[in-house]
Amino acid sequence: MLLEVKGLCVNYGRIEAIRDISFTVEEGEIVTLIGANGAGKTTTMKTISGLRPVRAGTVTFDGQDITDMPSHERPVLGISQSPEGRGCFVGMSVMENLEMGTYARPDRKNKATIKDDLDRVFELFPRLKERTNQAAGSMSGGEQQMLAMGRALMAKPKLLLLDEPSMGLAPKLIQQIFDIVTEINSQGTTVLLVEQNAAQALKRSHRAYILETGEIVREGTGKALAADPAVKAAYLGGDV
Amino acid sequence: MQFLIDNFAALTITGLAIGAVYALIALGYTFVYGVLRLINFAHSEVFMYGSFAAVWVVMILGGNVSGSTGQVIFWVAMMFVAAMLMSGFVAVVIERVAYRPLRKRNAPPLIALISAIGASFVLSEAMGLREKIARWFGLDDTLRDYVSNSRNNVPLPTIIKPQGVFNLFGYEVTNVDIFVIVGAIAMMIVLDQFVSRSRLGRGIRAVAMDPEAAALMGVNRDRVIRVTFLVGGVMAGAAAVFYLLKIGITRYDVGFILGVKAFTAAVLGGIGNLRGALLGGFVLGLAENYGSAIVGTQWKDVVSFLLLIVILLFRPTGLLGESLGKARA
Repeated sequence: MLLEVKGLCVNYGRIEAIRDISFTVEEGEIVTLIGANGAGKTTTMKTISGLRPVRAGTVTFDGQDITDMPSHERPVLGISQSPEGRGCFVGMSVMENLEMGTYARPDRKNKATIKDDLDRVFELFPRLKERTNQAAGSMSGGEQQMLAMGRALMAKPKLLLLDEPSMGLAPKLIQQIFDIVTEINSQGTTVLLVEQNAAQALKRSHRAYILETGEIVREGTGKALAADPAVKAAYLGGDV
Repeated sequence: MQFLIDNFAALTITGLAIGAVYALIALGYTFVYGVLRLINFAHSEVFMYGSFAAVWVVMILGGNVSGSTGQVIFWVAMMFVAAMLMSGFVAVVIERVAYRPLRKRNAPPLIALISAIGASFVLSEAMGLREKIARWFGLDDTLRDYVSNSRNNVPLPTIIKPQGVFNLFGYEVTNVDIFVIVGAIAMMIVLDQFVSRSRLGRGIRAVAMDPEAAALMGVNRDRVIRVTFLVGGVMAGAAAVFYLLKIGITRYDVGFILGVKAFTAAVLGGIGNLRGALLGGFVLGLAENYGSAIVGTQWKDVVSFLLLIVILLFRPTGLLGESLGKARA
């Protein structure tokens, strides 16, 4: 088991954002958390990255309890996140953003390795290669999404957390982003995905969990959930 | 007006020299603001402690200074080391004592501002009352040269004798003028390179732009904040040496008006923007010199703040705009 979340509770002040959530991610999988706005998906992602304090429960990564580990130490273990809203460093160039991805890598001084990873990112996102010197803030939403994902990959993660990669993108681009997620996974990176675009996400993932108001209400393989009538009615627009 | 025309070169050079000092102090305000969105009002005292360290190191090491180029270089180097160490230290202590505990408890920004003003008073009065403080410890005799008349001006022995180097439209530009202006610009180039090229510098910019995304990249925010205060403090220490070489005296409350001016320079150039601090410092230094030549020296401070108001009316984010990252790339 690469990631195990057990009985996790997170609060914002007195408001419970997530309640007693448990789920696992196995090595090599794509696992998706699906849910409506405010269901607690982003909170879960932020907690795994250490940006939100845990009230109860544990997070175990690669056999190590990381529940209380400071956020900046987690990338070193191999957890990397492309956050909701992309979080690109708008005043930095595309290249500087990608280099920020290597900030915590122990082998960051090995130019050959870094160059290989950079080439791999450029292969996945050729658009970034054309724009290495452009300021991230002057790029379109889709390009910034690619940059955020590319930056997360530059950390060479064991587990890639993708928070709403399709948010605000045109349908054609959404398709492309999901293709790339599948490609990243087939190259050997485990992916934990959070999505509102349930149809695409379920099609692409090995397993999925459905979150409602801070609790997991259903789980199963992507295929099984996509065929489930209740899931269809609530998340796939009924007659899909 | 005739006075301004007759003395234009002199006013320009002194304006640039004092502007360079403003700019170096302004960097500390702008740097901390960029990372924490906090105005560190105690930064003026960081400068003041640096200036005392520079004077004291000359006194401790036997202070009668004259003579050879080698000696001059030695004394100036000692002043820089002492002032930068002292200012850097004071800045880091302020962060540790006055800000970090509040940050850990998620205090609203207004509370940090009040803490900053409090820290400023404590530090300034501690220096102003250093004779009494020494007496508590029974050290007032031993330290008499350093603590007596603690509310008066403290002069720096002449380290560099001002000598005309070249003539600019009737004004003898001195070696001190050149050293201060060139030295301050060089410091700023070093800082600019540090911020844009080094790993830690990039970490600082990343935290300034998006603290959460920076944490996701593995940037340690507390460490970045400490370095930010340290670098701002070191720059203020350098500013203190340049100021002493040009002006020749310091005192316990020297930080107040200089701090306000440097803060003005930071806002003028665009708070959070390093190059803005440089530009703001020079513009302010020149404007107050030209302005006071036209309307009289007693109006000097009025001129600076009028300039600030006018510029903010037309460019509310300052000359170069806000933010540590946006002016670059």
